[in-house]
This record gives sequence, structure tokens and C-alpha cells, in this order.
Amino acid sequence: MAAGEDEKLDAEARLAARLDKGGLKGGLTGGPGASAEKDERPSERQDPKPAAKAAATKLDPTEVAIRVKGVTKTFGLKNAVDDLTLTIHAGSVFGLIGPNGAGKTTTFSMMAGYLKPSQGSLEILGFAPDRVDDLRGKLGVLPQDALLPANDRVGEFLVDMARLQGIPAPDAIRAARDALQEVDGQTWWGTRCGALSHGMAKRVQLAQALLGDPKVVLLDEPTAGLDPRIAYEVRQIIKGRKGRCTLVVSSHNLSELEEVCDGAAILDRGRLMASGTMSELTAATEEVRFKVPPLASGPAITLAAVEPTARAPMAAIRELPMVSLAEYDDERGELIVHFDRTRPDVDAERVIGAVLWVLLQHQVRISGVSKGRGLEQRVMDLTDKP
Amino acid sequence: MNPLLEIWLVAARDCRKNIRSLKGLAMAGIALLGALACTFKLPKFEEAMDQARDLAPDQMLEVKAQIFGKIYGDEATGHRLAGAPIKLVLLFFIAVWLAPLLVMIVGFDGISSDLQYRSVRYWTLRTRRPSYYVGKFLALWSIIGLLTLFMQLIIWTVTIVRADAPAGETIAWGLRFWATSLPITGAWCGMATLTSSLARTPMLSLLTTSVVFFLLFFAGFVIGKGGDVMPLRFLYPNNFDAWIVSAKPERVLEGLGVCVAYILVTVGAGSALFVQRDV
Repeated sequence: MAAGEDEKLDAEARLAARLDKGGLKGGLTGGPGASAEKDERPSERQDPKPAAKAAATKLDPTEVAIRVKGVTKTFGLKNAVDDLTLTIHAGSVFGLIGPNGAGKTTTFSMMAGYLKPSQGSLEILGFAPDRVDDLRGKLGVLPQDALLPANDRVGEFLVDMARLQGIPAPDAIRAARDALQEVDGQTWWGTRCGALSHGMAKRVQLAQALLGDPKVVLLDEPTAGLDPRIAYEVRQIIKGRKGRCTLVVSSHNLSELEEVCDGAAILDRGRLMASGTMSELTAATEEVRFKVPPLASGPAITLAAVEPTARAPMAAIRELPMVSLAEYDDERGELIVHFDRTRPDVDAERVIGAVLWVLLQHQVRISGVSKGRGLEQRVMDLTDKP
Repeated sequence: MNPLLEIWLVAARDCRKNIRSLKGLAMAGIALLGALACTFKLPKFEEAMDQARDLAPDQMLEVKAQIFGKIYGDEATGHRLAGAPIKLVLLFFIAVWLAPLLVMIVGFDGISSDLQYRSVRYWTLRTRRPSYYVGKFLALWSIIGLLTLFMQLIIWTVTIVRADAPAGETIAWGLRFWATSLPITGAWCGMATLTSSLARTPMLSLLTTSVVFFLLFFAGFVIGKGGDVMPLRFLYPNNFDAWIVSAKPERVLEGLGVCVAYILVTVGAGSALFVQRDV
């Protein structure tokens, strides 16, 4: 067997294995955009945790959970956040995205009531964030850089937090244990917070944020510094909460945000650059991208113009009725297929299926498929421009 | 939630934390040493005074009354205190004078450490900020109260065991002196909580608190009391002891009122500033 054929078979075997493991959409996630299809992996999920069992109520997605109106926060002469306006609907998972200094943590801190806006107003469930009594037990926050009290034992700390949330003393221990169980930390009950590793401390902080099933949960860098397995588990916890509470996640990890979020706001230098659903931000409902072998160098050269063996698939793809435009991005090594999203019978999955069929028929090697241009690309396009 | 419950939860936790921490143990050790030192030194002082003057008990009582009358600026107060076991009077005197030091050492990191490590964010999300602040103040006051009571208990025990004074008299006077020192330590705690809440790190807080306390001593005691500048006297809480131990009820009430006002002003101002600040 020729070496080229071996490689092709290997690639197909890997593809098949990934398809088996994660399903078509999850398995072909070469680019970040494809992860808009959520990888639930039900077989790998653990039994529902007690807190999850407790709150099965779904929130009404038409209700507004968080409203940010014309908010500016000034530190000295610098505007950390500049005239920011956002609306986050109940039950959604919303991401705050941006480079360092974009204003994510400042926005987050104003939502949590840690910082007061210099101008504008914020509302959480209809209340200003400093209305502690009105928001008691309804707002949970995982601050990025707040250390746990080192001398407190984990259980004691969580019980104290539960009591302050208004949970009566007899139920506070149960609520604390449930929250700790949700982050797989049952065995840390008697451990001093100062003795926890970074990952364990992060999960205890997450437990205090989820304590008592709050309606709005703000998570600042929830997986920063965690090993991949724990980060995965944290993402599963976030996904498990989807629909039952409103989650705002601030993170630098774009693939993570793309995986868990329904919508996001992209910030840069304190300003809102874009916001919307993840599909809108990544154009996942307008285009699909296929990683296919690199072509001759040059900007945006079509397959048909360069590679005779690929001419046929390119032509065939362009002839597909749902395809409005097909081009090759030589720089990224991607075939970009645009489609008419206004047609009711056309969606990204149908286009992926049809184009894959053509590519496979022509034995083109495919190393990845993504819906849209990917959040990372979108963020790069929007941020840090002079 | 009732703000009083919030305050109770914050204060109770802080008391637990302080008592169990290394600092709490160290303070208990210092209190123990201080009390024992007083216990074994004071009888010698008393004996020496008796022998030196070679006076009858009645005359001795009169001498004591004159000394205490001079110290507290009131003859009636001197006569009242002369009846108390001298060890307890001196312990009260020492406790009041050491109060700022004790309060500074115990209280400098009360809020500043929470601010430095931002763990205050777990609390401000769940408690009204004034409740958090008042809880911290009350916790500090309680710890100081417990430490001074601990010192008193040691003195009482030794006094009773050595039969220096009857048990009932010792405990009655001891409780009275301890209760009398509480409003003064409360005023110091109010000031310490205020300075601690204004600093972002415990070290800065320790420095700020010591500077502020020294300035209060200088302005309130050296200039205010020494130079008889009345308004400045109110700056230094230890000046209020003469009023609180007075034999005249109206003076006691005035002293208590001044202490309460001091506490209200410092706690109120600190609390208002804490509400406004970013954490």
C-alpha cells in the first residue's frame, strides 16, 4: 500500500474514532466554531448532583436577568469601562470576552456590587447590585482573585456563607454539603481552606457561588489554572446549570466560552465591540469552514484555479443549491462555504453534510470542520486595533 | 434578613477565628503573663507601701483615698476606690492604659486582611456593608473584653487564694472594674476598626493605627489633659476613665455618654466610608 494511502486510511480511522466518541458535530470540531454544537457526552456525565435535583425549574428566557445601561467606570483618568450597555436574558450562559484590560473583570465586579459605576446603572433581577437584602440568595459570585479565609475549614466556611444567604441553620449544613458535592469535594469538609491546592480552592469557591441555587451566577475565570480534567468537570457543572439559572462567565479561554455560552459580549479597552448570540458572533448560521489540504500560496485563491484534482469538488460545491459562495482562504488553509440562511430548509448541518459528501466522494482529505469563523477569529478581528 | 442577625453571624465568626488563630493564642499567652506578673508583683508593692508608711489600716485607707483622689481628680472617687482591693484598682489602671496597645495588636488586621486578599467579597455579597463593619467592630470589642476578663479572673483567683480580700468583695469589685473598662476599650476598638478599614494591607493598617493612636495620645493626653485644653481631651478615650469610675452617678453617666458618642462617631464614620468604597 502506498504511503499516501496509509496516511489517508489513518486519518479516516481517526475521524471515525472521533465520530464514534463525540458524534458528528463534536467529533469534527477541528476549528473552534464547531463547538457551538454542545458536547453533552451523557454517558460520561455523573449522576445528577443533589443541587441539580433540587432545582428543576427552568427560567423564562424572555425575562431579563441582568441589565447594564450606559455604564462607565473610571479609575483616575482612565475609563476601564466606557458607556457599556448589555442585556442578558434569564437562563442563558453569557460570556464576557476580551483581551487583558478590556474591562471584563471591572464589568463583572460592578455586576457583583464590588465596584460602583462612575456613571450609568446596573440591575440584577431588577435590583441594583448593592441591594444585598433583595438579592440575598439569588446572586452567586465566583470572584477571580478573592482568597478563601485560610484558617476556616471548608465546611465551616460554606455553612457561614449559607447562613448569611438566609438559609436557616438546620438547612445550612445540608446546603453546604450539597454544594460541595456538586464540585466533587465531599471529602474536604474538615480541611482548612489554606491547605487546599489551587484546583481544590477554585472548586470550593465555585461551591460557594452555587450555594443555595442562586438565580444568577457570575463566574470570573472559572477554569483558570485548573488541570484539563477539572476544567472539563467545571464546564460540565456550568452546562448542567444552563436554563436553571443565568450564568455570566468571564474568561480568556475562547474555546471554553464558545463551548458553554449561548451569547457573549466582546469588549476591548472598556468598550463593547460586539454582542449577541454565539451563532451571531461567529457567523455560525452563515458559513461553514472545512480544513482541507493547503493550496498554492496566494490570497484567496479558489481550489478550481489551482489544483486539478480539486477542481471537480469545488465546482460541485458551488453547484450545490444552498451554497451562495465558496472560496478558499489560503492563509488559514480553509475552504469557506457561505449559504443562504434566510431559506428555511437550509441550516449549517445540512450544508456540512452536503459539502462533506462532495469532498469525500472526491477523496479530499479533511482535517476539520467548523461552523462559522470561530470565536477566536472574531475576537481577533474586533480587538486590539489601533 | 434582619441586620442584627447579619451582625451576629459576622461577629461570631470573627470571634471564633480570632480565638482559634495563632494570634489569639499569643494574645491569651500575653494576657496570662501580664496577669501573673501583676499578681506576684502587686502584693510586694502593697506590703512595701504598708511597711514604708507604717500606717494603721484606717490611715492606709485614707492614704489610698488621697492617692486615688489625686489620680482621678475627685476626692469622693478616691474614697470609693480606697475600699477596693488595691490589686484590682491597679489592674484596672494598667488595663486602661494598655488598652490601645492591646486593641491595636488584636484589631489591626480585622478588615485590612480581608481587603488585602479580597475575601471581603464573599461577605459583601451576602451582608449589608454596615452589618459587616459593625460585626467586625463588635468582634474586636468582644475579644478585647474576653482578654481583659481573662486577666481579671487570674487576679481574682490569686487574690482569693492568698486571702488578700474576701471572695465576694473581690468578685464584686473585679466585675465592676472590668465592666468599667469596657466602654473605654470600646472607644479604642471603634478607632482601630476605622483605621483598619481604611488600609488595604495589614502592615499598613498596623502602621496607620499606631500613628493615629500616638497622635490621639499626644493631642488628647499630653496637650489636652496636660495643657488643660478641654476639647482635645475628648480625643483620647483613656481620659474618660476618671468619669466612669467616679462616685457621682451623673459623672459616670457623662463618661458613658462620651464613650458611646466616641463609638458611634468612629463606627458610623467607618461604616459610611466602607459603604462608599470599592472592594
